Amino acid sequence: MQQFRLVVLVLSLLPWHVAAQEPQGEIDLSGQVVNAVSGEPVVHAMVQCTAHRQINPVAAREAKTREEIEALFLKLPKPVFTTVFTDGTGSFRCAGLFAGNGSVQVTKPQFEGASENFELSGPKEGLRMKLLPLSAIDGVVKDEDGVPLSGIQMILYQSIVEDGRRIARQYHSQITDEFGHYRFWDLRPAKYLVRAAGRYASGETRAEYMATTAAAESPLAVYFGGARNRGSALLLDLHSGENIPADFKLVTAASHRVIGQIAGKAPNQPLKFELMDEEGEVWSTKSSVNSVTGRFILFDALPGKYRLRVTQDSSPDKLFGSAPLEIKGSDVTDVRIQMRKGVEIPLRIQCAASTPAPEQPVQVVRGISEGFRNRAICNANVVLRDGNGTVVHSNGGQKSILNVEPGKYELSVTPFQSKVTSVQWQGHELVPGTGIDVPAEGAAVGIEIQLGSEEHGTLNIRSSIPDLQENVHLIAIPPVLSLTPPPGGFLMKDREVPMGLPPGDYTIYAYPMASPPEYRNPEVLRTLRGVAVHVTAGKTEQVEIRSLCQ
Amino acid sequence: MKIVVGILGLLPCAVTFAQTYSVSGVVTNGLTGIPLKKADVVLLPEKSEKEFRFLTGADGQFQFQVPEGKYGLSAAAPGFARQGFGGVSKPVEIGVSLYVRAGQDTTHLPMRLFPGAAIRGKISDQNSEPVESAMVQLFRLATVQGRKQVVFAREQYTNDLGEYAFGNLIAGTYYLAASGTPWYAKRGMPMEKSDPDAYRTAYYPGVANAAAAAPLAIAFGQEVRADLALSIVRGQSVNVSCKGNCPARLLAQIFSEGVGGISVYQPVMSLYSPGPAHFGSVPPGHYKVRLRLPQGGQGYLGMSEIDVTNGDVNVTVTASESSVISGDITLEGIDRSLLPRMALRYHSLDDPREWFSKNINADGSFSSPPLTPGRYQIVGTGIANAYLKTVLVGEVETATVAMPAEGVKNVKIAISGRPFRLKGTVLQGGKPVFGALVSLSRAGAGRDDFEAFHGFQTDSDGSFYFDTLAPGTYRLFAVSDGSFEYSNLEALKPYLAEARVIEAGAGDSFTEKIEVMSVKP
Repeated sequence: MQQFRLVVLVLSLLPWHVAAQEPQGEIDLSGQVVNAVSGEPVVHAMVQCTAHRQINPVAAREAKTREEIEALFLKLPKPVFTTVFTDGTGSFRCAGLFAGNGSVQVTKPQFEGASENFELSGPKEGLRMKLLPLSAIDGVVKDEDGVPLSGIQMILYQSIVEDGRRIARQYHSQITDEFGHYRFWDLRPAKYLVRAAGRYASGETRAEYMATTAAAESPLAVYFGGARNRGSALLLDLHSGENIPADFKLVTAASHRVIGQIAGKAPNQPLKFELMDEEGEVWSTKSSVNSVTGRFILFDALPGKYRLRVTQDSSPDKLFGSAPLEIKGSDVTDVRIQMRKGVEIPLRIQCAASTPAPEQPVQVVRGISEGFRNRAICNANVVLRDGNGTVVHSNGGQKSILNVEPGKYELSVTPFQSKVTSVQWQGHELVPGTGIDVPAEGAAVGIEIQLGSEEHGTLNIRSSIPDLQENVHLIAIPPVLSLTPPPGGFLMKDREVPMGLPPGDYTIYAYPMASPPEYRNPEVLRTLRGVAVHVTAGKTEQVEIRSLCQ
Repeated sequence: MKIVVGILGLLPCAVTFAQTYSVSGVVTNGLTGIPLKKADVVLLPEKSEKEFRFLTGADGQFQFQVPEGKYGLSAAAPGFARQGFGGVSKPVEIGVSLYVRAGQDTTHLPMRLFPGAAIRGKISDQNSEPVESAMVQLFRLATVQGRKQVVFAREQYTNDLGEYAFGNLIAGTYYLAASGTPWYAKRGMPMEKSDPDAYRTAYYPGVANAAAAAPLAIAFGQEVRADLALSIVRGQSVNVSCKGNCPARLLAQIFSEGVGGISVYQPVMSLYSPGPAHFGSVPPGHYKVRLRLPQGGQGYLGMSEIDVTNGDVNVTVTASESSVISGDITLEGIDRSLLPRMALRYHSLDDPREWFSKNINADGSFSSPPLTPGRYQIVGTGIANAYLKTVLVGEVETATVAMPAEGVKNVKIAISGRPFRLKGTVLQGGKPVFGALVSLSRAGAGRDDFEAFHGFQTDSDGSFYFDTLAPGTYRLFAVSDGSFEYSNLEALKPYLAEARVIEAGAGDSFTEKIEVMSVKP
């Protein structure tokens, strides 16, 4: 019954068109597809036109049974789909549509697809569909003498803001071909970093003696622009339709082999070897493993201090192993690595007595979980981030975090409509800025979280931003950031948006979804425009947003 | 001085100074003769990973001082892929060995590196627009296991500009094929079309028929451009489903017979059980549909044949990992502790693209990876001084194992540790010949009895050896052409009358000196 009610509610939210007449299938829809940047026509683009009707929501509300609702659907005319291609002038014409809800979807390689929905009551002409051209970064990787280097792993990072900090998320990876060439394409406009991470290859053998494929010299890993570390790397600001050339000239240095033994690996599953330097950067490496004995050789390793990290995505558990490593002027031998399952970190979440346990049924009203919207539940989303700020583990609502690789993490806790009053790791209170160090033998005590049941206040937020676009987000930043990410919401064009918050001072910022602010960066935070508010328990305040924060 | 000698004479015998020998030469560009600087020369002992290395200066010269032994010598230089000594036109693994010992001149070695060849081009569609993700397959005419055949060389998917590029190729004869799916067929075009557009597989220089494909002959250092246009034909959707013992994820391959009988694939699809994997637009033709485990291409699961003509094709392939050749090994005169070091290699006689190997278990049992049904030759590897004495399927001794879909069990393989051993030297005008091809073939062998044909390219001192031979009557001769087809009965025929006949029993050892034969028409 609950499901049935939900269907009715969902249907009631859909736009409805009262058909004046039965569909004739005689409506034509025509227009032109153009390049959104240059305005030039886009030829041979695929245009998919559809026409369909939706059921009368009044009739849907009056329907008493599932069968009656299904009968309403069956009375609808069959949707019309028409596919055409644009001609030499980018023009198209879809014929045979009927009155109702129409939509046009345009696709073409090397462009981001575009679509538009509208009411179709008669012939429609002059529809102008703009396709945003996608971009590319490519280049040639050479050594100091200008000789192309093949087999170099090129890593593309997209620079994004996540939880208020700018991080570089690995986006793609590619190996240079025999001509030293690489190319990343179909990229959206954004900021990117490119890194030549060293030679990469992996292989398995059963041979007793692993024939050498090592090179006497290997290239030093570097970001485009010459920086050795991510913090000072050059950001490539890629605009729509651009093809940015990013050639590399790599400095080479004498390289060595690392020879050792893996124990505890799963049979017949590939192993991944990574050399992590002291700044957390990964150096690609060529590796060969004897699948019978577990003996391994890494080739082309450069002098430095590393942690050799080995992972195996074996089913059902991921296996991890690591060893510290220092390469000086010669081969390193007798490295021993024990592969182990990841660690389970238990979570203990304690709440005030009034907060229901997560097992308690959560009522769905108007398609939204009441528990999430209006009431606290005794649970929290716990996230572990690596040193680069990337989320690597989360509990997913469960009572433990499974299969965690031993190492250092930052931790954040997001409760559901309650307040985090205490977070302890292995019995010690955690404060913002400190991380956790997960030992290889496991975390007996784990993470203990205390949630408070403080009554919330409400902000009713409305926008007076002229020409407010879609997908504008809100975030409420308290004066002191805690282990809990600041709460957020959406800003609507013509509607007031309620936001429930624990009592206290906040600054509300509005930003387009595509460019979230770096609120954890004090220098950036100072430049942001926001609205200061005070939230009082049980009270509702009105807030007006007049501009975007940046 | 006498005192010093006296003291040395008191040292225990174990403290001796190993005699070392000089290995030296010049690394040059094999085409121009110009010395190559920064060439990385590696001398690798036959039974060790302790390599010797030398980085050349501007004069290209290298020099090592190493103990007596058998070595692999190779070099790589900026712009030159690693190549073996004496390999001339072969990749490093086929380079011949270098003997370092007294009386052997290992100085002034000519280490010639040849610049790789390249084939690059662009795949375009009927509107002359680039085809992204077209599958470009490169095949090479090569002598493999002593027989000339078309073998799979490499494959690549085109980028957004329709470009592909194969570099570092060895000189030779190549064939090129391109297949793909129109972009609009991948993005929902078939929604209202029953016969979607498809690209017909194109062979260089732009023909649809594999038999009409033209070879691309390329020399070292040469770059050849090979653009192909894919033409539109009315294709059909092929939906491949899996039933039976289906893993969660597998690969679905649709392929047809290409140049020289080798398989030419349509772009490969992932199938999430039970499927279907939707091949949106497959051009008309007769195809085989194969399911495989995703990792490493090994692991055949099932196959079916289809004809794509009119209308969608829905094919359900029964997956079973039972399509294996399995059985037990019997050892004769070999320590059982060596079993895990041994492996069996399974060569398909029907498709040169198909060959796999797998270790023998410690208890002497073995099973192949799941194999595509067909005829297989089983070859023992990793077993020095031993030979596959018999392969019995049931009670029948056989040279090839014909495997049906359900697999072949109860295969008994006997490996003997009493092979017939043959070593010797190839001479020309009384002088050892380096890189000559020694052919040894068992009398009365059939065409597919690969175990009866043996070849060896002579080492730096003109020497050769065979230590995995079954007893029998053999014919032995040598030619200077290192790519001679020693498993091809037609190629052998003109030489057999003058070949040396060797009657060998189990455990026999022979040492022979033979002169290089002149080329027979």
